[in-house]
Amino acid sequence: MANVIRRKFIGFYSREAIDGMYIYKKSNITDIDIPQLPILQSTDKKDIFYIHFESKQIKIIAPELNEHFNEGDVLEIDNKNKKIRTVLSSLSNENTLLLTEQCENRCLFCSQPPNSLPDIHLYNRATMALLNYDSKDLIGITGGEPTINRDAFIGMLKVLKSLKNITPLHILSNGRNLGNITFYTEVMKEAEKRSIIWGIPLYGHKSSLHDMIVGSKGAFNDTLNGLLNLSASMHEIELRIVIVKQNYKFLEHILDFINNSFPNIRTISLMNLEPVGWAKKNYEELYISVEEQNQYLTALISTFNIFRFDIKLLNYPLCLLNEKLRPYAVKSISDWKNYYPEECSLCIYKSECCGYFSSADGLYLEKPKVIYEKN
Amino acid sequence: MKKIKTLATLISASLASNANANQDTIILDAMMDTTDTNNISNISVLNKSVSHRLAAHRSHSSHRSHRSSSGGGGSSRPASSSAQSYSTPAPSQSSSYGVRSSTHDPLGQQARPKQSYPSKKTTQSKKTTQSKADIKKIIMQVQLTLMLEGLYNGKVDGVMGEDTRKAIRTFKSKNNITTKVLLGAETLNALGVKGF
Repeated sequence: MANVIRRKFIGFYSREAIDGMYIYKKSNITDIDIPQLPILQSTDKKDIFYIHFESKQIKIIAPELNEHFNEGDVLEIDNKNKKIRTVLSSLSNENTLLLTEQCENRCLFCSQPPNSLPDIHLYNRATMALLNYDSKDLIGITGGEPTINRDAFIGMLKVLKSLKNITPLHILSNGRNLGNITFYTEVMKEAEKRSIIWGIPLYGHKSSLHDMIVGSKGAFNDTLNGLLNLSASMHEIELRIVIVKQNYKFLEHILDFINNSFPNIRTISLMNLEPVGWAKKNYEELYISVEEQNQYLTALISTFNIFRFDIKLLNYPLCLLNEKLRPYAVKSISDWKNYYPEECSLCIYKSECCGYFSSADGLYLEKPKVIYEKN
Repeated sequence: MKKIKTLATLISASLASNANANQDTIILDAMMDTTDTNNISNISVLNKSVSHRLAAHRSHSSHRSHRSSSGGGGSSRPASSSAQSYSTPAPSQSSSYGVRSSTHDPLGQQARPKQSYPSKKTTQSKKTTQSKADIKKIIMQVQLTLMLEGLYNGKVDGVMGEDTRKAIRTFKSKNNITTKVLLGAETLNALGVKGF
């Protein structure tokens, strides 16, 4: 496995640590205004930490914990595997919470293949993490489809509102449930003063294309209804288009369609495929090399950046894009799955480049074309 | 007791562990005097002492109706996390580890290692100002979960008001929990509330 920028786990030693989420703190004072997580307390000694349980303290030895986490971070102890996992950390470049693994769609390249396992505990966990981390920075919400369990999703917003949490959220949703006006209205009511960016995917300009890629009939209509509803709100919409063999030739149609139908949508994220989950299984049928994408992307951007759109290219290593496109590329890959192949160490753009998904290492790597000097 | 233990050790290793486990169940049984006792093996050890505290707290309140309505509709929740993650039988800790992967059960608590079972003594000495804050925290978590379930609409304030009680009762009947105590260990486990 490739060496990622920041590991998701660190190891620890303890005889009797208790599984679950903790908040990492210097003091042992309980905040009584929120349902606070148990505290993992640091000590004067760098490697030694304590969990407070009832009247006793449980000792944990974790040499890397101190440098891997900041005070106020939320982490998770897995005692069986002796691992401490990042849930939310100010040292991570991306903080995302999983709400569910259920989804109505079956996207051909799903990175988190859906199941029908119960999910209330995940909503619970995310809510507790948000309350305890109490961030003013954007926190990502993902799934599955976060709104699939409508009661739980609304419940989460209600809890956050009730406890005066104002964390801004970036929610990745297929938007289908938001097409339902009752649900939409309730979401808006509970998210009244919260800043929310909805990341909503649209993979085609017509139902046959979109529905085929997301593997669900009627998805296109539902998503459009959701987008229409959201357009009327104060919330921001980020339209996300994953580019695959099936739709790369229609990009212009898709953007044209959005331009005509949704005057409120400004941000368009064009995304290169992440080779994980089902995308690996269907890689041959899906992946269109960046080399071949280049001419379509260039045409697209020269046409549409004269409009109101703010186009971003996600998950594109700079060297694979032509020069015109590079300014639109974003460092988009989360640190825990981000790596740079060896060749990249010589590249002058390394620090500005998003690099690669660690899952691309090996079979799924589109070889970097190292750039040695500026043209 | 010590003799029995030694004897058991002599017979076989596995038998010995069973005997130890039984001893623990007995201690826990004694702790459970005021809490629900229908199904000990289904209750996570952690919440036993919690519900003990809550039960004591509850007795000060004026609330009377412990009766939970019977049956309640379809078993919409039994497949839920509670059934799978919190039913780890206390005695057989070793086998309960790794029943589900932690990714699917992030809040799940496994039976605690034997040596850290809270003794009756520590539980009782806990009735101080500290425990008041603890109870508030637990009620907040209960309210939070009930809100996610769509059963509670009030404030998340850690106060056991009428709305909270009503929501707990609805939750219990939905999940076929028929214990007498309003918020016992079994209910806490079904809610997935961690008691510390």
